[in-house]
Amino acid sequence: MMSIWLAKEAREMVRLGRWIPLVAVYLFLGVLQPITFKLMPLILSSASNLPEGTVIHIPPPTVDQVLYSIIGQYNQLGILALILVGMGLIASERKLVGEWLWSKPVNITHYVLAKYSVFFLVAALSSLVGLGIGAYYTVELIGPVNWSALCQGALLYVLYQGFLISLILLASALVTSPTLAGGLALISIVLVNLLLPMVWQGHFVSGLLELIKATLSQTAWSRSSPLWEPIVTTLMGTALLIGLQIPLLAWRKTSH
Amino acid sequence: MIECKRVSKKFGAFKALENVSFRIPSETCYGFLGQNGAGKTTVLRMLVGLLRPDQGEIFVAGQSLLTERQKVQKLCGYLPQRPEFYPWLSGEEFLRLSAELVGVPARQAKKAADKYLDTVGLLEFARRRVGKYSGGMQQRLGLASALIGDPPVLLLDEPVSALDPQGRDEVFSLLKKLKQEKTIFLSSHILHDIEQVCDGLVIIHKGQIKAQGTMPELLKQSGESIIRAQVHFKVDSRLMNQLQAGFSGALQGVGVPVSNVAWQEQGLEQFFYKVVKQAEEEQRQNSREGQGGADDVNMAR
Repeated sequence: MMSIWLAKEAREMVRLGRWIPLVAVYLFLGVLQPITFKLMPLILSSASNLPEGTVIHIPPPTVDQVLYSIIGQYNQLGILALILVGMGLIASERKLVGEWLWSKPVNITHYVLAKYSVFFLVAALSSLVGLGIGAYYTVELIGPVNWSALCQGALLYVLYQGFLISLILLASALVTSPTLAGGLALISIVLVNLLLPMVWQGHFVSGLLELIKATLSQTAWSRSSPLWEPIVTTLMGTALLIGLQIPLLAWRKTSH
Repeated sequence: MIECKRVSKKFGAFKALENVSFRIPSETCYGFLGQNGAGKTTVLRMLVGLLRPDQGEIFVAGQSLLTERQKVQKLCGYLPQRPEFYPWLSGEEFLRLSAELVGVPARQAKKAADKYLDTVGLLEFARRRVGKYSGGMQQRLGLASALIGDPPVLLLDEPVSALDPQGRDEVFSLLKKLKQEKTIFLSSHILHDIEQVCDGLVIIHKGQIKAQGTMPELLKQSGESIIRAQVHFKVDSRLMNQLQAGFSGALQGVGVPVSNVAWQEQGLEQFFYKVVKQAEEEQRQNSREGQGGADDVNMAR
């Protein structure tokens, strides 16, 4: 049963071109950051109206700064791309074909897992390829990259992306309007990114971005809080958010 | 085969169904007749597990819908009133998905899809995207989706509403064949459609079952009741006179032309056949004259 849904989701992703914004945004951000850092002094001097003879001294960026700036951009524009693609994945389907779909003996666990898997796979591949290209340009324009640290940081980001995707899909399962689902997802992610660090600074899910930063700058082992904590709590949070969709959709099945 | 026992459903303060009870025997075709908003779609959606009753029990093929919903869904092929499917899939891909969802092995799904596309006359459009199908084609595709997997029960919500007269005839011929081996429950507000194919009838009005049984049983039951018919075409003075002449009881019309007539009549059979025959005759005449015609006869007792 799972393979039916995986095939259907993959086909939907391709036919509706849902992969395009993900690939485009992540590749663009990956390429943009090293180039921006490299050209920043030039951009500033040509764009500002400073008196002649003024010297702007900008310390050269470090490699880990450039790489983390890519993650930083992923966490803004990348999230918007994720929401754009994910907000209608369940909501639109329920609205369009809900009556036909729920009249069939659908295994909701398979349905939810297939949606998550295909979306996660495309998003993760896009962000990894974007980071890879970003690293290539960083090597060319800034300096040598520690590939081991980059791989660890990239995997941690993919983990965080998985958490965000589960949040977006939960929002999409809650309502039948894709726009409303997008709004809900955005608010939830903003709350996760802003509020959680206030409550649990450096801990649990909110510690993951800090861990990525520390990994890229190869200082992760000197962190005061345990390394496993953000990883395990993010995985648990993801599993919980996916798990919540199953009873929610089972309930919605009879009242859509 | 299908049994509803004292089923009630409210949407907020609105009582959609009140103590609805009926029974449809195996391997028969029953019509579900009622005006728009009478509760037909609510009942059908409940039978397929899309709505939960507030009270009462529903059994399909001996399985309780409340406790065995997945099993019941495997036993039922359902055609929604307004079928909408994935527009980015081709007709064949959609039916393969439908087949696999009801347990047809992947290897046989293509064969099953082709078979049912052929059954509903869509084989030549198998590779066309569903989004480019007309309303009638989508309804045929929905019927194929309901048939796929060979379920013993078919629940069809106005299965011919988007079809042209030829399409209606084809679907009714198909249903006549299918009722030899399946239990079919189809809703309509068009008496003539139901009469063509059904062995029995359940009549619902404002969420309450008003009559049920086989056609002969209903004809016996009718007695001296007041029959109110709504004919969705203009009843001109000539037709009014014909109707009046044909019925022994009093015929009340509200002005001429009218679309509502009420009369008292001995026996339902005469009512059925005379009104439908008149409507058909009118339709034929009007078609010849290029004026459109009668397409809808609706009644409640």
